Amino acid sequence: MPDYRKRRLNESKSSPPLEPLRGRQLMRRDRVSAIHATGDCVLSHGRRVLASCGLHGGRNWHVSDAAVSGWSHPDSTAERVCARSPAFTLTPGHFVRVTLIANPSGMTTVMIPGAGYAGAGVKGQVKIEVTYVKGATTKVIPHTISIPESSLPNGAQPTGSGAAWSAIYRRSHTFFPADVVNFVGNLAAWVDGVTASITISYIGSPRVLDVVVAEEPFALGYDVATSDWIAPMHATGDGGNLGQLTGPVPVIRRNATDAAGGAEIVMDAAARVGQETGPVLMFASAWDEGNQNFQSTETDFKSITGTAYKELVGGATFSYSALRAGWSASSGANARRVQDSEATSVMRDKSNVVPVTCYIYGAMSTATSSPTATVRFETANHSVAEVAIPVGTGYAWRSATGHLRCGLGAQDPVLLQVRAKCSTASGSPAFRWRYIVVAYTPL
Amino acid sequence: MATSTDRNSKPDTVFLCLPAAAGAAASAIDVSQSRTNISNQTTYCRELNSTRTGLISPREISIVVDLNNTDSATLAEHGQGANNANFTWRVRVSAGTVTIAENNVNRLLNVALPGVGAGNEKFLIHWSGRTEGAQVRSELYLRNLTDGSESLTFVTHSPPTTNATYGLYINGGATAPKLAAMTRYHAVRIGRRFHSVAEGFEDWVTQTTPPAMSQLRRAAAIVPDRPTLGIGNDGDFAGPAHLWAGYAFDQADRRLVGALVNLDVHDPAPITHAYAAPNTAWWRTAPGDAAVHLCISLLWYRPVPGKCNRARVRLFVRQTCTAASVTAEVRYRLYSVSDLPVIGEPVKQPKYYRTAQAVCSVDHDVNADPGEWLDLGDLALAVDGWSCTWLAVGVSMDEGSPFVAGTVATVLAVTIDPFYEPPGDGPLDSWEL
Repeated sequence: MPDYRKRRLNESKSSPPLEPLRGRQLMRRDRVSAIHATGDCVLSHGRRVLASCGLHGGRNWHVSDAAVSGWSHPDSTAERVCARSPAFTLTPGHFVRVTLIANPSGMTTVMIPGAGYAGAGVKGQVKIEVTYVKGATTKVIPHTISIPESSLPNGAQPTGSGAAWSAIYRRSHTFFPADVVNFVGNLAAWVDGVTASITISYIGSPRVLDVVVAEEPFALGYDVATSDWIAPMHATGDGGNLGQLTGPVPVIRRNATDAAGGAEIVMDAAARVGQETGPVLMFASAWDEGNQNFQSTETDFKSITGTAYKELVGGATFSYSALRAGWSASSGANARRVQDSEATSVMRDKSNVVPVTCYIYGAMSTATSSPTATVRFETANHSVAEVAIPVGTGYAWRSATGHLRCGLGAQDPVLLQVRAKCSTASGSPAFRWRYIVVAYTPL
Repeated sequence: MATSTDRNSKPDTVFLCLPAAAGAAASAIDVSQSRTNISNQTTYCRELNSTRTGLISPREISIVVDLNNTDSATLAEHGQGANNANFTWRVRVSAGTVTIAENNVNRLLNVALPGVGAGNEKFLIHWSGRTEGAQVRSELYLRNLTDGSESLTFVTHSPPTTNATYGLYINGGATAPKLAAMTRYHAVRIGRRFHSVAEGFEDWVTQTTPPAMSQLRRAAAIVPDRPTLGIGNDGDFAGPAHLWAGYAFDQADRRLVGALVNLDVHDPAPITHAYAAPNTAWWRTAPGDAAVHLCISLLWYRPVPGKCNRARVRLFVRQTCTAASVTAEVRYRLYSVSDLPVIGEPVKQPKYYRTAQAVCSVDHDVNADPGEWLDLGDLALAVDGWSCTWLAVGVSMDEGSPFVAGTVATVLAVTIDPFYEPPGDGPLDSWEL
């Protein structure tokens, strides 16, 4: 019969009481227990954004307010992907949660064989599909959120001053790969070394202001017979704090079959936390709400042509410049590591470097003349990660690792820009992209 | 007499010379922590059987040297110090092109020196590699320290093999091509750790001056290493293990914090002082200030990482005016609101905070500018029961300006990075705004 420990991650960590450990003092249960207990709660702060989409600064909805005329509105049943993520390694003890805000949904159409497109009523849904993988086991979990319909003619958006602000719906859903709520054995099976791939799709005519899929801290659970925990697991079997040890203090570990309680597990867990965990720095979708073709079943690609580097969103040709638009890379400083950013001699506490994997979901427009492309993720002219795009027109995640300068923190802004170029102008190829991700990776 | 350590001698450095154009004798002096000088051979320097520099991966080699477009030389190598002999790694220059190579013949990269000309100019050659699976990822950064031009090139390759009988050679060897004078060398460093190019830049080009910061910052804790402490043997202490681990836990408690909003807008909504695009339904006035308008297009509802109470906000804006070379003054704020009313849920009293306002009256069309970044400063976060906050951009315009009718503003990028500010610190007291 397995023996499990479970630690809920809803407790905010307080600072570990280190002072009693600094001097030549006897080892005491309360001092040891406090370190183990606070170490358990370190990962309670995770809300990493894995994917998002929505209106996002756009100038209009892709759903028309006009009356149906042919295929003038989105199909009522077709799934149209607006965001994808690569397979993220989830933070242990975290699962995936979607949060969504939207205005009332609009009109849809349906194809009637022999008669063409006709109105299919007012409808809007957002489907989120999470694919969890742990070892050889895969769990695909779809969830569809229906957004109430507009009651206006043609399913139009709200009218009148400020009306859109008075017609906001909010929804949320958490994706568990198994019944981890009621059975700690399931939790232990899915707590560590799990990847999650996200797909967000629109069905019909939702007017999504913001949909965000993020990690949600839930609980850690481990079988005592296993090892390599990311927390000391100073916990009971049902999720609580073990409190002060009642028996003798284990110096190394409790016993040959229980790694908990001693100095070994606390050292190993602290090493894992400080090396393996870090933020998702950015996610971007090419979904352009005001210009997206509602007949497409996936986000319309953005493209780059020519053999000079061009910025991916605006398409302008320029070198890295902090005076132009882009994304923030400052959050990388939250996960600085001693080997890259140690503060006395390595980077001297003047800047930091974060190890990342840069992903881009893209393809070449043609295979003629065998064109390839190069995509550069830059936080300075001298801070670059470079992704090679091979020959081929099939979309896939392409990635490369690198170390990007990220400054000292949120108050030290560091700009991330992404540029690309084609290898040849022969045949007028283009590099096409749909989604971009930059995520911490323990290189 | 105290031994001074140069700032570029690091814990991983196995050899460092800083001749600063003083010639071969100075090039042979190892000022790293090793303090093991190599041999001055007048026209070159060497260390025979140099196991300390026979590194495979990770590895860092930095060379600062004066070069011109006719130079042909082996600048540094771990090998046999001869033209056609074997080596573990080698850095050569020939007619303005730098070649890095491993395993006797394997040329990894040939890269032109940026801005190289007929006269000598000072260059940084920074080659560092790290293991990636069974391969090595090498990064070669070349910078002309005289004119500031630079290039950065990558290659993934097989790791070399090394040979303990090979030596370290600086400026060729007895029969290898070499620079005519060793006074051309300023620095050579070899290390056993991967150095990012950003680190090389800080070391050899210029050191960043960071801004003043009030946020809580965490250290890069030394990785707890169980074998280091020999836990459980007679005479070992259990306290250091717990102290070390406890400190590491404490410093790791915000590692997962990423941006709340990190957006580069594809096709931004135009903002005019009518606040009616595309229709008035998208606009409302901001809480507490009827002059400020919020657009539904610039609204997000985001989960807030635990242990964060503030966020730094920056907007990239672009403004134009059809009637003048300046725009009316446009003022931007960012709001964090909890419990914004939503349909079907009980109404609660919203709570909000906002940034200071950032002002812009530049017509970016005048000089064909792409726009500009505005730093809105720090934003206190109002978090609701879902651990989320509503984030909205607030805009107002100077209605007294003669240019207000022709002013159009767009928000092209939004970055909102959360952090924690300890109580009583920092310039922001949100209730004072």
